[in-house]
Amino acid sequence: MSWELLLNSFGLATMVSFFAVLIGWSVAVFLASTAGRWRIVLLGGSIAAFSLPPFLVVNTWLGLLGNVGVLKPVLPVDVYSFGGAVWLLTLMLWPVPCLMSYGALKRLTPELLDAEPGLGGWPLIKEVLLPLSGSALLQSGVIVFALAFNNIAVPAILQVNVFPAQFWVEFSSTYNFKMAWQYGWVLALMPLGVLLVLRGQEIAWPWESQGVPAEQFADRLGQALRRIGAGVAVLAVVISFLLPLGHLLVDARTWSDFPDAIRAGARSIWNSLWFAAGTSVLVVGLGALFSDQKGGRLAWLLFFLPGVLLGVVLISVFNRPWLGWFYGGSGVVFAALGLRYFALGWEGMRLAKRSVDADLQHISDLSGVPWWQRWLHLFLPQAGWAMAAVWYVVYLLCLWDTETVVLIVPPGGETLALRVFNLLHYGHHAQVNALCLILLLLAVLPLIAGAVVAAFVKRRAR
Amino acid sequence: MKTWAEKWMIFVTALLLVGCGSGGDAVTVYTSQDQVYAEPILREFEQQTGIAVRAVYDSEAVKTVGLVNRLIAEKANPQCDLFWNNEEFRTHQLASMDVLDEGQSVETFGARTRQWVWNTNQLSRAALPKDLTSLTNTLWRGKVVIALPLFGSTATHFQVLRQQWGEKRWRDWCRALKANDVMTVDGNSVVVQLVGRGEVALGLTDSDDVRAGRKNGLPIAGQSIAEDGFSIRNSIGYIAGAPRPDLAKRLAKYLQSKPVIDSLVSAGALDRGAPDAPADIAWPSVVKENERAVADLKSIYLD
Repeated sequence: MSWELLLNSFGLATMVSFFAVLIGWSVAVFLASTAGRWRIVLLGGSIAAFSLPPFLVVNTWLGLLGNVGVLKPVLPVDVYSFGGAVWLLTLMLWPVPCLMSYGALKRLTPELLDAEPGLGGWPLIKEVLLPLSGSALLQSGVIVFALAFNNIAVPAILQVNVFPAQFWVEFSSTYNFKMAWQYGWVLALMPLGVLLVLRGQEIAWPWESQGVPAEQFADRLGQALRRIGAGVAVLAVVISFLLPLGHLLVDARTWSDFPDAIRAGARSIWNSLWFAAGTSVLVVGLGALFSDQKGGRLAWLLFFLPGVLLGVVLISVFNRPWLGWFYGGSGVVFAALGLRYFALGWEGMRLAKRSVDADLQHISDLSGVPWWQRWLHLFLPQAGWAMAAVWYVVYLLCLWDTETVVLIVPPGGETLALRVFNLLHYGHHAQVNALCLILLLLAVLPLIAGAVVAAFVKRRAR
Repeated sequence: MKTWAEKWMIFVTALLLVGCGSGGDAVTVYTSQDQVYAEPILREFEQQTGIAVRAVYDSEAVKTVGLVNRLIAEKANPQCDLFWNNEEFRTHQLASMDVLDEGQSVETFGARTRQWVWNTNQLSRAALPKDLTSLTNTLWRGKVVIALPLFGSTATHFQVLRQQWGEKRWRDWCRALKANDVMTVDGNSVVVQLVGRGEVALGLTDSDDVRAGRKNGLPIAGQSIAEDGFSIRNSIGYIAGAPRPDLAKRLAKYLQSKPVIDSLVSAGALDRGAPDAPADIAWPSVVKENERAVADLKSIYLD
């Protein structure tokens, strides 16, 4: 086992966590002090930045600062470096601390603020805001750490040696399960540590509290700090969301290669859609089924476990003659993605069920209403949106996933994300832009379909 | 409220519903040929024959070795019908491990060559080293990049050199090369990128990677390694116990047809005017020595 690589991974994940928390928290403070259109735009921008395909971000920065990047002559920074990996992963992950800190900051009440009428500016941050959001910062920092530590696609493309990527290479080059378990325990320590840190801690969801009116918060924060927050927020959204999107849409090659990319990648497009949509249905369904089981929390272990390790486990379990029908087909991909993201389904459905009117639930229990009727008439009208949101988050994560499926992808089962990963790794960039655009279109497809269905239902109701 | 047993039944049913493998009238090929070259050819085969092709491509980081190990791991449970390799050594290795059908010999076609690749802004053709042993001179300290010699054609090249030079001379050279700060990276295409970016002046790579780099506008040039170089031929192996051996034969015949070889040459995957006769390499002995060579290479380049 290479301790040097392990330290490298720890260093990378620590730096990404630090910068992501710093940026995310600054943006969250500004969001809490802003009302109206700006808040909606920046909040939407933060969510959109997190929802972008990782490859789109990587490809953008390779286009800007890569070997023949457009900014290379004026900005001689090497993106193929440790610093480049920190930069890109930070750009992808800062929305996690931002949204979690925003939820925590919204717990600040006018009464709490009025208790210290003279407190403003930096002392307000030090005495009130930091302690209030400390738990969210720790939680989000740990989550970002785990996500950055487990990521193999970004460091591998940037030629940065990290432990999980080396694990993948070593296992692929030997299929030595003994070696895999020797390495694996270190990788498994990560999710265990995350679960221990998060154990018993409550997450502050942004929609749970009203918070202090933005004007009052802004007044107490002071102009100088607000301006800094505004600058960070606008820059963060522009650099991590608008820049990749703009780069993709403005680049002529995106459009010229688009028809070829569709022709060449038709099967991958279908695979991505099928695996992502199927897994998210499976995860939401099973999440609903098991949401009342407390042991479901253990599923977070699988979420934070590096995807390649999960792949190794699945190979050792399913690569058997009598399971060939499952191992050689799409089943193994559904199993892998389903296990990885089950925690989101379980947690999401638990929260969704909790939001349903308790009295109505009680009455339906007492009157012996069949479960499917309860679903149709009680759960769906009240928690349907929450369920759709969980489905969509899992759908997006499955769409971008490479780590979980890279070892187990069945013949003909290549996904778009794997295709882009391989093409970027080979250095054949011709179709990558167009493939990223297709990935983005697949990402918004359910939103468009949802909007069409909603419009249709509304029209019929009239 | 459903019981645990009911919940698990629903869970298992859900998995079974989504888990059905899609075999049908399709041939499964594992190929280490670059995806950008292989894909159009396999698609053309589908169109011409109506036989669907289910392909698994390898990754640049674990070039060929990843697929070879997957085939070995699946030996008792073969999923693949045909292995299309863009080099020869690993196919012979699979044959020696009974992963390939005993009744079928390894077939080879087309060829690439091992090449010097250099940044034309930093080096001239005249300044190239005269042979591989010159790379250990201090003149080249920190100026040479190679793919990690555990994977792909670089691994094959190193193992062939071991056979040609003898173990001692080869090991000394490997150590001297490492001591001379040779840079090792993931794959031959990365070698070309680094040389193209001017981060390293000189590299060892394959002719198809040089052509791809030049097509991308990199300021590089390539030249075959005259002494101690070798031709890398594409190879085909038939998997023992393959689910669809007849379809595998049809695909293999198609891959070795003149139009396909011509299209691989036009795409830059194979060299024009490649030699018809196989290179004079005693593959069984290279395969036999593989484990010892890999152990040496690991101790020199990884530890």
